Amino acid sequence: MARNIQTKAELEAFYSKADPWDYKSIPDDEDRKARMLGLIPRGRFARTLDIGCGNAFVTKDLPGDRVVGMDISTNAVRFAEQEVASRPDSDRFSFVQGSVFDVGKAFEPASFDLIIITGVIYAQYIGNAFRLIAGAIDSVLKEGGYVVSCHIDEWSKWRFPYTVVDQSYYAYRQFTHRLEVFLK
Amino acid sequence: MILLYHKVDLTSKSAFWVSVDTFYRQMHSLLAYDVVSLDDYDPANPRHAVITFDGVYENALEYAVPILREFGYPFELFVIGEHMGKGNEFDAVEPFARFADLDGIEAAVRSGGRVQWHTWSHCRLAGLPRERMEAEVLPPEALRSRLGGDHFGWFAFPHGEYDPALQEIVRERYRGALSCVTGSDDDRYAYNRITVKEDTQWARPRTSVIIANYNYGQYLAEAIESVLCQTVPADEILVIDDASTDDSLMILENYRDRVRIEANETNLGIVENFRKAVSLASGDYIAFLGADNRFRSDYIERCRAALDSDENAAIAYTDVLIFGPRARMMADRDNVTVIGESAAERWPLLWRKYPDPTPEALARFKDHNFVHGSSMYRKRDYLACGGYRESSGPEDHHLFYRMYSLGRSLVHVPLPVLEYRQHSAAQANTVLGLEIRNRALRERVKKLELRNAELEKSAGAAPLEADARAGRERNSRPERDRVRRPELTLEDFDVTVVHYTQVRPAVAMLNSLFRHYPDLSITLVDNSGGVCPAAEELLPHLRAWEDRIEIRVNPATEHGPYGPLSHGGGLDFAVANSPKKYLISLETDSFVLRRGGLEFLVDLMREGYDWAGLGQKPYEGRFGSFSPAIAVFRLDPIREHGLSFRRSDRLPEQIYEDDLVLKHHLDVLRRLREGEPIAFPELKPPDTYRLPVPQILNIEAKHLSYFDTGEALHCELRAKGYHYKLFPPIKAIRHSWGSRSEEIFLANFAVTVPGVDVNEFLPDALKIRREPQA
Repeated sequence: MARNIQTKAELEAFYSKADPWDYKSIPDDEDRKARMLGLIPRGRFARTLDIGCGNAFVTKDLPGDRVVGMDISTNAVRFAEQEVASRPDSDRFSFVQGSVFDVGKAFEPASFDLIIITGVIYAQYIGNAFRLIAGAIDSVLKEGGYVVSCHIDEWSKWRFPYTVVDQSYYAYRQFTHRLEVFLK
Repeated sequence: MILLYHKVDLTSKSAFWVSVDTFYRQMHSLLAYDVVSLDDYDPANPRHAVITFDGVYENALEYAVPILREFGYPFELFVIGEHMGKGNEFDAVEPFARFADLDGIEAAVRSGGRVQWHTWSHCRLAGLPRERMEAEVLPPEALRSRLGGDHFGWFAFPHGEYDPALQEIVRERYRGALSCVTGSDDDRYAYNRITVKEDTQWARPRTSVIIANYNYGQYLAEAIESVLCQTVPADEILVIDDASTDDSLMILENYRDRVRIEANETNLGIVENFRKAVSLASGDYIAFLGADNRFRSDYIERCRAALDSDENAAIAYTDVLIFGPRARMMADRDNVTVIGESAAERWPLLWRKYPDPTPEALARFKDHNFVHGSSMYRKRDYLACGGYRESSGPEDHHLFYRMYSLGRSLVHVPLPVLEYRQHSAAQANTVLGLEIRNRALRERVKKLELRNAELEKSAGAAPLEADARAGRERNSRPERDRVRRPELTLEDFDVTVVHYTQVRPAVAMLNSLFRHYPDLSITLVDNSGGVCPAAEELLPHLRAWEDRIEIRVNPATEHGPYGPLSHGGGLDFAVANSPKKYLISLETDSFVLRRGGLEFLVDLMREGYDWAGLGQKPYEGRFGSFSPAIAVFRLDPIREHGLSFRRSDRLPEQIYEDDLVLKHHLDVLRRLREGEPIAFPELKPPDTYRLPVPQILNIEAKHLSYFDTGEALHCELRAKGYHYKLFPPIKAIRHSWGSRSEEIFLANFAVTVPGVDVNEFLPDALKIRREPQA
């Protein structure tokens, strides 16, 4: 187990450029986004939260009358805002700086009906404290809402204590991704 | 036992730090104990446990106290007076941590904590003059009066050390005292404690999960993974394989380091197999999981809690989530609620609720089972009543009823933490049942083969079996005899769009096509049958490309899934009228084309394939189904054999797997052969299905579309040994979804196609305007 969690300053430095993970140039990221969007349940979502939104690579294509992106890095939030600014539907989006541990404090209880979490539930970010993440997400997710989780399988052993609606494993870069849709 | 904690944080930074998830699991395992305060503690009572914190760090209050509060446990906070609100810099070998200040301590008191004393400065007291000793041992009066209440009744020796002089002072002022390195259970003024670390465990009931497998290799990994990722892990996972003949053992090898594997050499049958499994299991709690089912990630956490908290309970039973290809058939059962639907598989998720163990339910328990076989039970009670036995009814019901008859109680976990895969019409979840089902299936196949032979005979075709075998043999050497055609260019292809109802999606798709291929000419088949928007209605939106579109009107006007309005009907017309030898077919309802999409299809033909398709959704090769949004065909084989996109003289081999559909397909084929018209509303199931009509129609509609959009042709070409390739949609197109109506399309298209704003491909008149946000 990691003894230390990456600090905000480290992540801030990492996000000193607009696309540090090369999402826009590596086709696997288009693929994994298409897979995720294809598994999001049909229907209307009043409010969507994207935890660890980064530069809004996925956020900008998410359904929801209101879509909130959250990232620990202020730089990432700035890039995300730029990313959606020119879209005709840019007013759907808003972005806030915050750690995944702050989710429960940053938002009203039961205020989202769809929560996306991608590449966050790794020991380097959450230590061995998944319970806090699951608890925070549970507090802001409505009853009957969905959590969509997308992570490198080998690095993320945790599962939300909800019903699995869909689950998919596929090749991503040199890893295997696990994409799951949970129903609260 | 008395537990001693120091720091609780996101990670474990040294032996004195316990991580949050571990702390939670440790607290969860105390459900099998009575957690009491020090005042109530009786060291002779093995159920008694006390939770103490020394130093009292901020992180313990932040992370441990909310969990303690959730469990409702009392806890004792041993504070060091001088350090409150300061850092631990003096403790050079330890990572930095701050001690809680008085406000934090008061908040913890409100959550169920009591404050005790751990000296003023944590210095070593042995040998100090009595006056100094007293100053360290007694909390300041100001602190006492601020906290009020019943605090400071207990003392913890610094460094766990004490001598008679110190103990004497402590004895005068305190109700008891704690050590951590020495001490005993007998000396109230030097009780010993367990210093809890990340890997500390104490006596508690152990859980054994037994995964019972017989030829469920295809589901086995999912079952095992669901047990491996439990929020409270199993102490033992045993997979018992009852002499499977599929690839189960190979799959199990991958898990050999994480689960215990027991492979029977001969099939023991359900009762003997289960008895053997329990005899091998070391746990106090036993839970069976069928290898075709899954545990939700909190199954063990919830069931353990239920048994831990109720010593007389022998069985913890749960509600059930039903999923799988046949889940829909269960939707009308009593106590079943639809709570969701799989987007990938389109099956519903059903929550099946079971009653609480009320006197009424228990009075009927002998004949009305409400406890499923994957309930968690105590091995002690299993042994007391003699374990699984042969019985006339289900062996698990029999077992649980006998446990109940011995005076033990049942406890209900009202959550769907067992996920049950309904994968066949008459679900067989026991080996016994499987065998019976196998027999029945063999008989059914025999009957169907006879029926096929009859059909084949009446159609004058070669016997199905021989033909299919020949096809398989030809298919078994595809790479060798595939002839490459490097000379092909896009010019050789008739790019055909069969158009019917959907104006806006068709315009978007066509504009994307011409945007990338501005010199391309295409064939637009008007397949409207005169009832929906005709192809000409598209032209005003495609002005720039008008002279590159040749419209051919399919003159047929019959409706229904096998009539001209079907995609297959339109393609048959296109093939019959095409001047070329290759045809690319593009549907209009689910995508806009990506640059390079057509070259991708041409390349496949160059590689020597005879047809290829990119499906509307990933099929993962499960049925080898063919329902492509984008497809390419060499037309010679189709013309040569007189094949159709919507008629087949042959049955796909794979539908043997699915008798319900097979029955229906046979019926459809018979009608086609005999020239009977088939309209959708006529497709009613025979009464013997005993299922509500709407549900049957859903199932049938799904499978009918295989015939409608090319499955028939696919089966024919496959059986004749031609070369084909099927793809999930991602490689060459931007896929949205398999839309069924323009309404859905309009609602979702723009936000569902990743990276594409569909408005880019629409003229102003058709642009999708978002409603102002409410």
